[in-house]
Amino acid sequence: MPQRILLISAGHPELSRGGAQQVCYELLEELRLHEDTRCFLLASVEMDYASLFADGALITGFDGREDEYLFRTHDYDDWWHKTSDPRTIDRFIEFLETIQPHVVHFHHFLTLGIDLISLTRRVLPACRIIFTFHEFRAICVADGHMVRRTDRSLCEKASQVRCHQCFPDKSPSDFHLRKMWMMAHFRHVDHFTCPSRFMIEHYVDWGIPRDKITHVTNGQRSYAAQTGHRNLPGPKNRFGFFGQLHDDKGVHILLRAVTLLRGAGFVDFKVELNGGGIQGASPGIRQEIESFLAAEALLPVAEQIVVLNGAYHVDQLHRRMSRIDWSVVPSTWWEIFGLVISEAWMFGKPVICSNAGGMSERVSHEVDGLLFDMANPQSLAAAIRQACTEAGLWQRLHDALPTPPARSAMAEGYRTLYGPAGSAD
Amino acid sequence: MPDDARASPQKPDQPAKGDDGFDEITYLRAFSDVLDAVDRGDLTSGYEHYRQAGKLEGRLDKPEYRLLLAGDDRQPLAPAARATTTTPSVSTDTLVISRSGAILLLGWADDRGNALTGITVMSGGKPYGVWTSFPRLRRVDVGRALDGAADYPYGFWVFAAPNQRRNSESGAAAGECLIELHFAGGAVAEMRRTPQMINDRDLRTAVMTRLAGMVPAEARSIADPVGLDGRIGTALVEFNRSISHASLPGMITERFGPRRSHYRASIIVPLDHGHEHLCLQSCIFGQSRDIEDYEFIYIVNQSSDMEPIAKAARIAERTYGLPQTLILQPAEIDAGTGQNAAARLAQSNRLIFVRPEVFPRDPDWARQHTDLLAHLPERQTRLFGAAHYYDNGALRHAGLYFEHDMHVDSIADAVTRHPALRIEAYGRGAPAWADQFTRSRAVPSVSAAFMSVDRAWFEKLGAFSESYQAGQYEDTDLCLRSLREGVPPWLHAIRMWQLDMTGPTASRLSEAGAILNRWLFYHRWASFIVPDLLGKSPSLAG
Repeated sequence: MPQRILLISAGHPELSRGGAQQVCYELLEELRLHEDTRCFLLASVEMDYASLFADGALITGFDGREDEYLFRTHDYDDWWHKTSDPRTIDRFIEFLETIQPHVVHFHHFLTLGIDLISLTRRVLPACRIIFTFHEFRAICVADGHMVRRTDRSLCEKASQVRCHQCFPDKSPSDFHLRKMWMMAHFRHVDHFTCPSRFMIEHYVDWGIPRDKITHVTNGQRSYAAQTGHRNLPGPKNRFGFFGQLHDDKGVHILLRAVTLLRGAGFVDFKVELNGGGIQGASPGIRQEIESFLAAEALLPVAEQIVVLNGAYHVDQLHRRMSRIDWSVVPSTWWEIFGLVISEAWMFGKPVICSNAGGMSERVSHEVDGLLFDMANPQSLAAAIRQACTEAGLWQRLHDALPTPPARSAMAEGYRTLYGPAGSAD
Repeated sequence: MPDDARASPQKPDQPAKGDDGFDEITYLRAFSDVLDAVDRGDLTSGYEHYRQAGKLEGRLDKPEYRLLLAGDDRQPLAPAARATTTTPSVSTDTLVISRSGAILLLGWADDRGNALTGITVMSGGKPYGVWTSFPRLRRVDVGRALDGAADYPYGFWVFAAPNQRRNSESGAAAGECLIELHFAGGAVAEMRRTPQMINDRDLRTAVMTRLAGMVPAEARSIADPVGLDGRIGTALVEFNRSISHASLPGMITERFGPRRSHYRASIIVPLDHGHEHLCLQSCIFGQSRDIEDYEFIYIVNQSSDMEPIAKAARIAERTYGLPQTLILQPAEIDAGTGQNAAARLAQSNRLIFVRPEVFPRDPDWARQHTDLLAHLPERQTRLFGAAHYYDNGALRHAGLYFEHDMHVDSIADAVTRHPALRIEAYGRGAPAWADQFTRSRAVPSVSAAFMSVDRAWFEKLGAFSESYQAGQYEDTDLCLRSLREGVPPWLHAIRMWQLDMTGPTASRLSEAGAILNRWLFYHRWASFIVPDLLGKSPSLAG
């Protein structure tokens, strides 16, 4: 009897972009290659697509795909991260009782409800529950980024008093109880995983037992494999940004670095911005980005350094990667894993990134990429100038690029945690 | 003089302060039995009593009457009261009567030279209310208008509950009322006013809102900051209680989940802190071993919360497997009445009252509780509380004790003492390891933040008092009754978080409830507590 594995995903990557759902789907595809498993996906869907559930169903299929289901949760409470709708609970119970998975693997609780973990344990007492942390949402109310609202610095440690400083309208007791609530549900999890090792320390420090949390890398199929992509000889002065145009992704740091270099008379380089979602940026940062781009567009074409290409799908990556030499990841938060780093490596592009979190864990300075001081435009400007001017640097770093983790490696990591097929029976 | 006031040096339909020295208001002030009879409608006036019995009893010669008659000039508010018959300037601001017959009158009198000693409201030729003592208020606006002292308490207010008089139907006062203000010098100011008719709840809100506005924050700890002892406190308590009881038939019960016929204990929570706390408590309390032997009963009295809480109860029952009972009550039902109703529905012999912001510090709290009941002497578990902690880990309280206090203030050149009775917490702010506070021991009182009580004992004590407002003092009131019956409350080593959640700020109604509660508690218990139960180490039987 194949091991039945239920992957529960916060979103479906074909319906809403996001690293967590992308990784979860990669895992689904990989697990389906194994004959000793039968893998199911239950992905939450935004309320915007209510007509997908025309007759009032809360869990339904997706384009007739086998073992793939969409889950429309109702009345989601984004402070306690729970549903307030009993029908959602009832449908989820029915779904679990129907599927009877041996393993339930949660990729996040966002939009689903952390109480579904306890419910799963109650409905399926013998099942194995795995939970993957894709950021710090359990610890941090500030979008799970652990960036202090007071001064935008990285937060090393959550506490009810420090969190109250970030959210003065919530009392320290609110945060204390929020943690108790989270922990009460997490006690039903058999094992936790993080895609980066540095995250483990944050979660252990927060209260997850060290022996219950493991590093399992995020893996992807190679998007470059079928494209015949190759890097061309010539100057290595083309830089690319890939990601959402949000504050925490740091595109404004990159633009400030461009301004500094231009002011210093260093203009022999190009920057291409690939991404959208500027509506998610804070008003000040959004205005800064839009003002920069508007001023850039008024310059003669030959003097323009920055160009905005807009959002993209992974299938378009090879075309966009073909126009750059370096990938810049100027994130101003921990950047848990950085799928964009893996994607750059797939196409043989060295990465210039902030020296924090998942970025500094993966990129080694002057070995396979360049690190700069996070949120520091001067430091980034110096790195760009170095990348453009230091002879042989690009080739040296390129030759040392790691192979990005394959999704088969990720799947093997999880299969170890799932246990052998039939072990939960 | 205001337009609505008509003064007469002497009230025409009352006997003159005749040869025998009868004075209506002084007579009522001196003899509370007569005042009660007039209040109840058994008599139409003090003079009627005097004619029928008082004269024969020689009441005018009794010291309490003679002293009052002769002693008005010793009252700080009226140094020259006996020297003049000039009618002071007066006015009424509000006259409200409820459908059931409760009455609220607010006004002011410039009685700096002639003390206001009595107020009567007549309706249809019969007395509707008579007051010989009443709260006085500073009225800066009146002081300015009169160009007088700004801090003089020109204002007055009186209140009577419907059950204080036989003739309480509102119809009796539907028409114009005659309001009489009696002054020490014999003058009577008369005003005619048609009352505003409202329902009991609105009148209660009007009274309580005004009560809250009368007491400055710095005086909130005083037992009687506004003069509730002049029968008005009792009237307000009874009025609130009658409204609460009248709403009881509107209560309904909803049960969720399969039930057993009997549980080891029933956890009763007045859910006044947001609907999400039901799920939070079910989840966090539910981690303990033995929790399947406990049932949860939640009391809900905010109509806007009822639907979300019903959903939350369903979710909690499904998710945690814990049976839930909801008692959905009209908002008018007070906390004590509500919790007593919940206790009657409990399917166990052990009641645990828990506040919604309380959570176990030790996940296995239910096993600990069960073990305490199994192994300790019965007298030590008949009524006991737990140690409570702040979210920062420090001790919040581990039992309660009493301190007597005194406040002084100065009004119109007279310094007045105001007694206060403070309920203090053992170990507030102490480090968690300070076990001198948390060790098992008898204490004067424990908080209903977590109170475990034998059901039979709870019922024998008469359950929670239903006279307090907004869930205050009824726990200590119960503990004192237990103590009076020879069984002191105990504090045992169960550890609970008591959190300060973000929530709605106190309403004027709850502020007034706190004022009334403080007065009632002092009124009931001061003589029992002072001096033997005062301090951190009182002698406790048991």
